Formats: sequence, structure tokens, C-alpha cells
Amino acid sequence: MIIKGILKTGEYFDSVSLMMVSKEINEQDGIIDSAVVMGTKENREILKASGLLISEFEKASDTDLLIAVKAKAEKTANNMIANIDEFLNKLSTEDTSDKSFTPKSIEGAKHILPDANLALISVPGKYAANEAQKALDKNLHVMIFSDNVPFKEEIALKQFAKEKGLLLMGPDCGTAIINGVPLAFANVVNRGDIGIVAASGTGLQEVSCIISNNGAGISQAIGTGGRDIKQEVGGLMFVESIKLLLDDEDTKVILLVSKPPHEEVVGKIAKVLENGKKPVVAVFLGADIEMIENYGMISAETLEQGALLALALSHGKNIEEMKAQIQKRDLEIRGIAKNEAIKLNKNQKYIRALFSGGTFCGETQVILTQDLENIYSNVPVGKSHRLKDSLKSEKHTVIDLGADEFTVGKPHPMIDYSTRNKRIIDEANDPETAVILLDIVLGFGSNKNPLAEIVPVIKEAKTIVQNNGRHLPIICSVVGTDKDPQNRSLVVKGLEETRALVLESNAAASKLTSHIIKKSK
Amino acid sequence: MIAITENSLYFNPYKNIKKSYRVDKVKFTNYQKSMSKIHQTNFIKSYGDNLSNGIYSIHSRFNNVINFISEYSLVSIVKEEIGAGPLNIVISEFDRKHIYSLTIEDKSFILNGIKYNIDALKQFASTIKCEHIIINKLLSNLKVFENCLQINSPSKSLAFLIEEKRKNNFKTTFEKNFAQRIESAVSKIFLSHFMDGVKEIKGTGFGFTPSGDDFICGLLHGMNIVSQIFHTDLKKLMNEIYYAAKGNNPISNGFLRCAKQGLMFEKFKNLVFSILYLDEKQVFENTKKMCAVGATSGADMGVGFLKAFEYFSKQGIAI
Repeated sequence: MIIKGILKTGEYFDSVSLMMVSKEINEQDGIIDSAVVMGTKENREILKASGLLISEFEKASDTDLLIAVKAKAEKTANNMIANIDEFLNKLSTEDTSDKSFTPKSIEGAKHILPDANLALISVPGKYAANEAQKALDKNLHVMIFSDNVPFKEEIALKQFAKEKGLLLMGPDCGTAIINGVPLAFANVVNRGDIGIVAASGTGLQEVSCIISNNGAGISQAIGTGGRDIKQEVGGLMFVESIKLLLDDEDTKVILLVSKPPHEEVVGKIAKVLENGKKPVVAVFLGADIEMIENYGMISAETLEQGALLALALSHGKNIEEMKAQIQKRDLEIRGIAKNEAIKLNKNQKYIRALFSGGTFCGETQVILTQDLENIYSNVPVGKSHRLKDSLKSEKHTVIDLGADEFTVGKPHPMIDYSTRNKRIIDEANDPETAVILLDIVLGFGSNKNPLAEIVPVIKEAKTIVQNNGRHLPIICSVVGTDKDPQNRSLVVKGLEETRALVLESNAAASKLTSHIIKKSK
Repeated sequence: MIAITENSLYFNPYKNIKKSYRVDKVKFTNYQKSMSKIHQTNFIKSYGDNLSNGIYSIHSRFNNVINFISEYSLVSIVKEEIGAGPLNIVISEFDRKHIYSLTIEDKSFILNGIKYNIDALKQFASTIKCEHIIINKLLSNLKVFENCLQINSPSKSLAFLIEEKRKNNFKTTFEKNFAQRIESAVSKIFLSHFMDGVKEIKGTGFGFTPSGDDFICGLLHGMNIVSQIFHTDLKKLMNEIYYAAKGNNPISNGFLRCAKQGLMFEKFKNLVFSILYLDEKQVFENTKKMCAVGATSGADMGVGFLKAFEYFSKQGIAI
């Protein structure tokens, strides 16, 4: 007699099917006994009592299928196990045509979901354009998550999409919310009447979360990919997306987010807006405000300000009142800065800002360079200088840990905190470090348990400076909502328990950081 | 202005303009109409009274049911023949291959990207109030229910707990050991060793929702009805049973939670209602329908309900 078994991971069947399979197995010649059951701990105990438990079953979970057969001869048992799929397929609750549910191609996906009208493409960059073209050919809107798609291909795809009246978001489009469905790195935000077009992933996340956390909501949030606003691409999708929102009945206010677009692109945007009747708030981080306002847009200096001005418009409030409230809040930040600054020693001079979100790296540089000099970055913006070595801080250093030099062969820093954690400890050990500034980005795709990653490191950094007789403010902003899988309030609470200073936005956190340095001088 | 302290910098200076906000429909007009489709609302037949807000992903697809789960909750999209339930959305034109996304919001749900305002839809009420119960009629109906379970229960169901000879239907070694374990567990439960019994019975049996879990659901429903009729507080015990029974199967866990809260599926509610208020014929008909649920699920639940009723009603107010 021989006992053989097979574990089918993650395969579920209703009891009717399992009993039929079991009956059919038992009717085969040479089979003495069998069991076909789900892999619960209790069923495994019964299998053990029945002499049908094989070692492979010990690692089974409740949703695994276990099949055990006792046969007179090894050959019979082996044959039965080899043919088990045939039995299961015959009686499966899934049609065989459904087996390709994880499709291997656009065609396969379209076959399973014929009504789908959007394809999200995440494949190595060199294959992404080809896949995007296939999707466009099938009249699908496209979001390309992949990066490293050549400029030429991006332009060709976008022109083709425009002609067909389709959206092509990306390449390197990390986030979007279409008809309430979050795509890729995105947060669970309220629905509402503010439409967003962004050539900036974390920028889109930050503004949508601030809007949602303050009681308004998003109609659509369209990502275009960061290069769309460059001269070469000419704002092809940025402009088309604005047209889309101008026509959308559910969008009352439009919010634009990006680095400063090329002058020609700004001209195209302005032309589209000429006849538009909806208020448009533009956060073109570091751009000439006068130029934006001359084109009839409401300018905002920071992501936070942009989000709150759009929110005020959505609620029919006066935007000047909102600006005044932000200024008043900023005054209070100065008070906190003063308290922190007096605790620093004279050798502590520099900011070390370590970001997982690229847009925050840019926004912080824009804020810091307003009052401080000697800002260095691996992705310099405006008056900032380029770091000689991204791994080594110089004076005030602002790092985008999502840049290629940190992510080759590694998950994005929103998922994997290890590179930043090591850097936090390095900066804490540096006697010249005066402030550490961090972003914590929540939502789909991001690290599911950020507190487990960051809290021990903040505590360790605090211990290091304490042992050296120093005080080190660690300032954080948390991008997300309470509806996100990680729950923003819980993350904020966990950070505050480490005595980290948690602020409402990256802009507020950056301002606090800047004021601490100014007050310490 | 909100005060800022060193330990509490998580402030919201804009809260004076906070207000709840909602749009009732999704439209992405003109540009590309294929982005949204407006479905007729009669596509949705009913929705359950215990759906939780959230973004759901598909857990499992069966011929008549698609189970969606979020981190904390379960929602089943079902064919009309399955019937309504606290966690069900009943739809006509059920095409299981083409249902792929679900989001539940306060006043609406979005199925396959199409938003349905629930104000325009029929809500299924899953609870029963036990008022003006005539005890003699109830006892008589329970007897009918027991007889009908014996006649209609599938061969491999737990009906052997009310009719010994049915144990002969359990033929393989696994089946025999399974039946033995069930007997042992049930006797522990009704010797008041509740948790030992529940831990022994949970997770046992065939299929995706094991028979043992179905029995516990029936047990909890029975306890809920008994506690209403006899004004007995069994909440603490029901809670303990629920937590002892909870496992890693989100579908079973969803059913157990409903049972703990007295939220019933349509066919089970009809059965219980007929036992409480209607005549023998109705009890018979509804028991037959219940026994046809799943391979053994309906019957297993029925047996759990009957056993709970027998035991706890005898205990009466003393519990």
C-alpha cells in the first residue's frame, strides 16, 4: 500500500465539486481510500488520524486544496496524482476558458474582460511602448507605469492616442484615480468635484490626500508622466487631460500639478483655458508665479497651497481667506522652530532631507532655497547644486531615494525602507546634522506596515544623538488618508510616539525645517 | 487657531471649512463615452443591509457567486437564485467572467466601474424580530423541521447528528474520522464545554466553507433566536464562540460574523420565519429549499440551528 498526495495552493472549490472528485477517485481501480479537502488545520488533523497526511500537507493553509490517495500499488497512486487536474478541470467551478485569468498578453486580458477600457502597463521599459501600442489599437486608454521608454516612442504613442481620442498616461506614471478607481501608487480618497492633472506622481498623491482629508474630493486624477510637460512632448496629454476635465460635468475646479512646464507648453495650456469657465489652480513648483497668473490661472507655491485653494473654490470660499489661514499657520510653525533651534548645538548646521517621493524632493528644494544657501541634491532643482556623490551628504542635502542610483535592482523606497533607514542612522551619527526631514507615503502599492520599518530606526537615531549629548529634530509628513490600508491616523500616532514632529504636509514640514536652521544661526 | 504643541503637530488649520462632500453619479462626459456607462438600475435586484464601505478585490468565483473581500469585510455578488443576504448584492444577467471590481461607498456602490445609487435600490433586511411567539406552535414547527431535515438533508451532511443511521453514508476513512470528530465536538458543546467543542468542529469538512463552520453559524443563529424569545443574554457566549471559530477563511469568517449578529441569508430567514410564525407546510417547503443550499451547507446550518434551539431553550432563563 502506498499513500500519495498533492497540495494545490490557492485553489478553491465548492463542496459539491470536491465530493464529486472524491467519489470519482474512489471508484478508480486500485484505489483503497482517498480524501479531497480544503487544507484547514482541523482537516489536516483528520487526515492524520486517517493515515492520509503526507509531510507536504503540513504547510497548507485554509485556502489550499489537499488531495490524498491510498492505493494498492505505487503506480496506481502516481497515475492518480498525475491525472488529478483532469478530474478537477472536469468538475471545477471555473470553466477551463477561465483558466487564463492571469493573462499573459493584452489580447488575453481583453478576452477575459471585453468591457475593459483601460490598460495599465508595467513591463520593462523597452517592451512598454509595444504593449501600449497594442492597447491603443484595441481602443483602450493606457497608463504606462514603466519608465525608461524612449522619448521618441512616448511622443509617437501620445500623438496616436490623441488622434484616437484616448488617454495615454505615462510613461513613468506612478499614480492616477480614474472614475474612483485608484491605479498603481494611489490613495483611497473621497469622490468630489476637483479634477487633477499631474505630471508628478507623489504630487498628485499629496494634493488628492490633502483635499480628501479636509472634506472635499476628487472627480478624476489623471497622471501624464513627468516628461509630458517638456518641450519635446509638448504637453500632449497634459493639454488633452485639461480638455477632458473642462468637459466633465462632475468637475467644478481644476488643479494642475507639475514642475515648471516648458514655456511652449504653458502657452498651449493657456490657449485651452481661454474659453474654459472653470477655475484653474496651478502648482508648477518653482515656476514664475506672475507668468502663471498672466495666463488666467490661480498660482500656488506649494502642493499644500494648491490643494487648499482648489478646496476653497470647490466649497465656494474666498481663496484669499485660505491664503491668510495658511500664513497664520506658518507663523505658528516659526514658534515651534524657535523652540527646536535653541536645543541644537553650534556644530549642528545642516538639513538632511531623505525622500521616497521625487516631487517632495523638488518641492522642499524650492522652499529651502527661498531662505537658505548651499542646498545640494542628487536631483537638483533651481538654485540647488548637484551632489558629487548621492551616497554622501554635503551641507544641506535633499535626496530623492527613488532616483535610479538607489533603485537599480531594488524595490522603490516607498516599499522598501532599508536604504533610507541606513541613511537616517548615518545622518544621526553626523555631528553636523541639525534636522532630518522625511516623507512617509501611504496607499496602495506602498509599504503595508510603515511603522514597523521606520519607528525602530527613529528610536535608534534618537538614542545615538542622546548618547552624544545632542538634540535632533526628526520631522515627517505623512501622505495618505484614514481609508488607506495603512490608516494615516494610526501612522501619525505611531510616529508621534517616537517624538518625531509630524506635520500636515511636506510644505509645512519643509518650512519648519527651514525655520529651525534660520533660527539656529 | 489650533494650538500647536511639541508633541502634537498633526493639526488641521482648515477644519472650519470641512464639510462632507459627495457626488451621486460618475460621468466622464464627451471626451470618451466609453469611460463610463450608465446601466439601468433594475440590473441590481437587491443589496444587503450589512455591506461595509471599502475597495474590494475578487476572492473567489463560483458558478453563481463571486466573493469580493476587502481588508475587513466580505461582499458576494450573487445570481437571483442564490437569493438576498446581509452581504449580498443580487444581480440579474449574472456573468461571472465579467464581474471584476467593486467599491462600496456610503450611499452607493461601484460595480465594474459603474456607480449605483443605493437610494434607488431595494435593501434586503436580514434580521428577524421575535414577538408574540406561540411556544406550542413553535415546538410543533421545530419537530416538523427536524423531520424534514432527516428526509431532505444530503447524505454527507451533519444530519447524522439527528438521525444516527445516516452515519453509514460516511464511507472513507477520512469521512468516518470526520463524523467521529463532529460527534465528539458536538457532545462537548452540549455538555457546556463550548469552546473545546467549537475549536474541535471548526474548519472540518469538505468544500470551501467547511461543514463545521456552517454548523457553528446555525448554532449562533439558534442562540440569537432563543435569546430573543426567552429574553436571555447570550451575547458574551456568542462572542466567545465567534472568536473561537474564526479562522483564516474570509468567507467563513464573514458568515460567522453575520450569524453572531443575527443577520440571515434570505433562504435561512424564510425558514426561521416559518418556524416562528407560519404553518407546517411552509416549514416543510422552506426546509427543503434550505437543504438545497450548497452541497451540505444549508443542511449543516439547519442542524446547528436545531441543536442550539433544543439545548438553549431547555436551559431557558437560567443561562
